[in-house]
Amino acid sequence: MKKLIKVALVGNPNVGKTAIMNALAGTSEKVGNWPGVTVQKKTGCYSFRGFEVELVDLPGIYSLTSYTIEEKVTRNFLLGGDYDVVADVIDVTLLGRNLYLTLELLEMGIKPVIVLNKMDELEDYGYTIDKNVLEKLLKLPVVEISAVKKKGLDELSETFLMVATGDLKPEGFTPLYSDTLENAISLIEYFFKDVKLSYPKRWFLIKLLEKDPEVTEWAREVLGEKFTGLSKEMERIEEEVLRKFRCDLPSFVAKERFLLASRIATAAVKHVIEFPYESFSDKIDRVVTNPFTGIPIFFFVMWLVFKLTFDLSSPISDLIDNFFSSFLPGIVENYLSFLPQPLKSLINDGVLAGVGAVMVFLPVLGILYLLMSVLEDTGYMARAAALWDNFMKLFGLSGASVIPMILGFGCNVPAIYATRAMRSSVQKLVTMMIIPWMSCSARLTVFSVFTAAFFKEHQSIVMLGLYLLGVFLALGLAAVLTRFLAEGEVDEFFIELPPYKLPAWNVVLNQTFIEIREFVTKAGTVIFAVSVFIWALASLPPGSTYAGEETFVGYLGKLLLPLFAPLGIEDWKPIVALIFGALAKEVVVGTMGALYGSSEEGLGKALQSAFTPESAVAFLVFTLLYIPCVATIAAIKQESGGWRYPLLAVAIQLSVAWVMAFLVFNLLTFL
Amino acid sequence: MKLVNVPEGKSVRVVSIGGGFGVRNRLAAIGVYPGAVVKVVKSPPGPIIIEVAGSRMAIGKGMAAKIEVEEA
Repeated sequence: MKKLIKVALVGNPNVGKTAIMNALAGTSEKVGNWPGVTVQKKTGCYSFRGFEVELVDLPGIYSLTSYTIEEKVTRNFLLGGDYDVVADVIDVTLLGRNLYLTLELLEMGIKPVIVLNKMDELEDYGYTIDKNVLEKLLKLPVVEISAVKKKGLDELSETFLMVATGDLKPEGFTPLYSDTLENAISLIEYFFKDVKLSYPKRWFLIKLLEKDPEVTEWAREVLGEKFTGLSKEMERIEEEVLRKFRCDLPSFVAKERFLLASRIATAAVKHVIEFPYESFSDKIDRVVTNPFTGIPIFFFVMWLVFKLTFDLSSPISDLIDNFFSSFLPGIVENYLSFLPQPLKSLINDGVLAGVGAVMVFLPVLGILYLLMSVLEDTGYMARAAALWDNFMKLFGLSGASVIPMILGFGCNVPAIYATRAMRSSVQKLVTMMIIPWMSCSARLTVFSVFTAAFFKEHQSIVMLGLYLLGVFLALGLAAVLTRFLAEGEVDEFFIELPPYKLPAWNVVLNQTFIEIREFVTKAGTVIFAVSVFIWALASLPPGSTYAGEETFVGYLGKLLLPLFAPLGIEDWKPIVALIFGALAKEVVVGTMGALYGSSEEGLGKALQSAFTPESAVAFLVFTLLYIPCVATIAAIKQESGGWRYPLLAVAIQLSVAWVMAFLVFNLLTFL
Repeated sequence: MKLVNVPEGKSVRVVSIGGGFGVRNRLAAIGVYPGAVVKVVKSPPGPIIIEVAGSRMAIGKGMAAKIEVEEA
């Protein structure tokens, strides 16, 4: 048995932790969720000198307070102590700001290995960093690396081993602050002199002065009645700080820490050459974040992403679709004709259709991941988020939700995965819940068949109306959901704009491969299972025609008829089509074609006799809103880490769809 | 003067920041605290972009209206 070493990666956003995971652990990376929250957890493993090293990527954060879920997850993991080594990843081009988090770690009594990443970019900035000065000041091991260029990695692993085995015992510097702050710490320490704390005391006291919500709650619990005295003392301290420094207590503590971090950084930086910081990049920023120029540019970029994704993927998807829906079934018919009919049907309509349903997503997902990583890596994603922030605030969302929502018009599945780029987990969750109402291209097939049959004259207006209805309801739902979920969550109020740069292709490709594999193993299994289940409903009891009146699905359709009568739908066949539509919305048209015994072209005639124009609109509204397809449900389950949110989405959407279809039908009939 | 009204290219000193403790603490962690000097790279329309501690931060108009600044 190899000895296992667990290394936790901590750092600000954009410091290159993903690149480090990639460089060290390659494709062994696993993506999941932290228990109970929608914050992504990535782990990866690799072997080094006979040890098995497990990397745990903690969420990227600027500080270790408890104002956001990401900060809480990171902090609780660090307090839990389930690791051998903490690696504090630092972007050397922003040394001062990054050391802020280092000081917070030291306050917690953690002695991290300092990982200076992006050493290769430093020369562009006209200075060097004296690693020895940092080592001496922080009393911590410092390793210089470039994850993208794969430099310094062996030394890094070596340091992990030495710290884990105890060969290297970092002393760790205790951050000391100004007299005012140190006095304040001693003053409140008095209240805890007889109290046993399960946390490092100095850290606890500093966080209390920062009015950290979680620590304040803990203090209230341990102190009981004495808490009032502490509050009074804190008020007095704050008054003094306010008078002397015109600064509230939490900002004062943060400022002290920031200034100390800057002082350490200044001591370590050598040979500063003044140079005009990319004024060109500032010029681009002014254009892309100004609404007048930025919004057209944004739509152009999105159009390009769409075009590339769907143009490049559709020939491959078609090939895969053909392979699973006609080539392989053909082989089964020809060479396995001795098999009994039900078994052949199981293979063709159940298994192959199910596997095919998973596989057709791969090209579109692969290309979209690639393009999304490019948008993220080049730095455009952050600008787009900044551009839309103001507008999306109206609905309780942030600018970061815009890109996933727009992608939803192509296909909801990659749109759900695109929410990973969002930092706030509450907004990520809300965005996932509303994406299914972005009308995807599969729904377009249903819209076009119906509008051609009923509204030849006003086809485009009806379609546009449906798209707008979806967007309108999605934003409305977001406004409602954020109100319930965003309790205590602070708005995302600033976004860092990283320097523009070319993507690191090795990281991008590796990451795309990992994502695709995760999709097949996690979402793919759900999609497959549901496909086979629906096949069973449509072919049992034995001896009945597939999806016919006497099968379970036909029975179900008739059973549900009373529910659909108020929407003007009085035939069981469209209901069966809707049940199949849960698999994939493009199936709705095909199923109706089969049930009405007509080709897709002749379907229009059949529909005109089964629907009135009013009930046709109601059916379209219902199709737009009723349920995310199984692949989308599986994606939401994978991303939110459980069944709670996908099931909630299904419940909300089914009920809203029914109500809206009911309203539309009755309103139109009344008019 | 509010940060939202500062013309492009001008450096200003932060006087006070409105909003909850969480917001103020988090802004201070990236270098925006009373007394800090920030440079306005872009002013409205659209978000405000400031240069602080070597990085660029985009701040929404609403937030920027709560940050009081003076001539640096």
